[in-house]
Amino acid sequence: MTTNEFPITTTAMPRIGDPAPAFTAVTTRGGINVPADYAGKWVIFFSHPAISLRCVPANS
Amino acid sequence: MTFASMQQEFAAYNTALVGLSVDGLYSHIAWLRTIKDKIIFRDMMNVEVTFPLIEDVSMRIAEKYGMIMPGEDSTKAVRAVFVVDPEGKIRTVIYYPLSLGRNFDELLRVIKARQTADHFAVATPAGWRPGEPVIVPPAGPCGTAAERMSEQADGLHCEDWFFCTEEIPVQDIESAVRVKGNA
Repeated sequence: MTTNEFPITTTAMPRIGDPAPAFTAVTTRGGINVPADYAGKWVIFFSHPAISLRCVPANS
Repeated sequence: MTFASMQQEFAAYNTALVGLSVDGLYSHIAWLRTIKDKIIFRDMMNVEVTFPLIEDVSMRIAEKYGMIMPGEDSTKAVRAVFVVDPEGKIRTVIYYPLSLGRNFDELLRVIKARQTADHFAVATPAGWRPGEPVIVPPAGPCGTAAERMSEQADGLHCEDWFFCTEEIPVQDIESAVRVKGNA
């Protein structure tokens, strides 16, 4: 399995002072709408490396 | 896991946690069950993650926030942290590589420092903790500068006209930013 099954396009990270890019998502606690659902609160939005292990060919 | 054990502490400062990983929902659920039932790490056990964990297999959201760094790994999100304020604006951005864990005390310090800066219109110096002197914005008009140096307004300590600090007692900060009734 190669690691390029999805074309990867990376975008610049949002900058300090920018509005947080809005999105809806499925979560372990149901659907959420960010940042609308969190108006009036501070939010720490963090990413974690994937847990599932993808196989890498032994000769790679 | 460390985040989960501190979620009440963040809640006390009106701060919600939202996690994301480039995994499917079922992997997330399996992971959370394992954390709760099996894993003991640094004396933390039976940890229940109650904040939402986003599934982002398509990397749609991770890409929107620039969480994929192809030079590091094109299939995983690095450890990014975005602090978003109550108006939905990004106020702090911190990035760590895949193999370097975060410092959660630092993130709580960031939250308290941002809230203190907003509430008291001050800046916080390196390594600041509540109770330590804060930096007062430079004086605008020249008259204010002269006044600061000659009279030393109440509670201000000026090294020079552009560098003044003041003390804000911990209890003043706590009563300003901590959620009421949250001991």
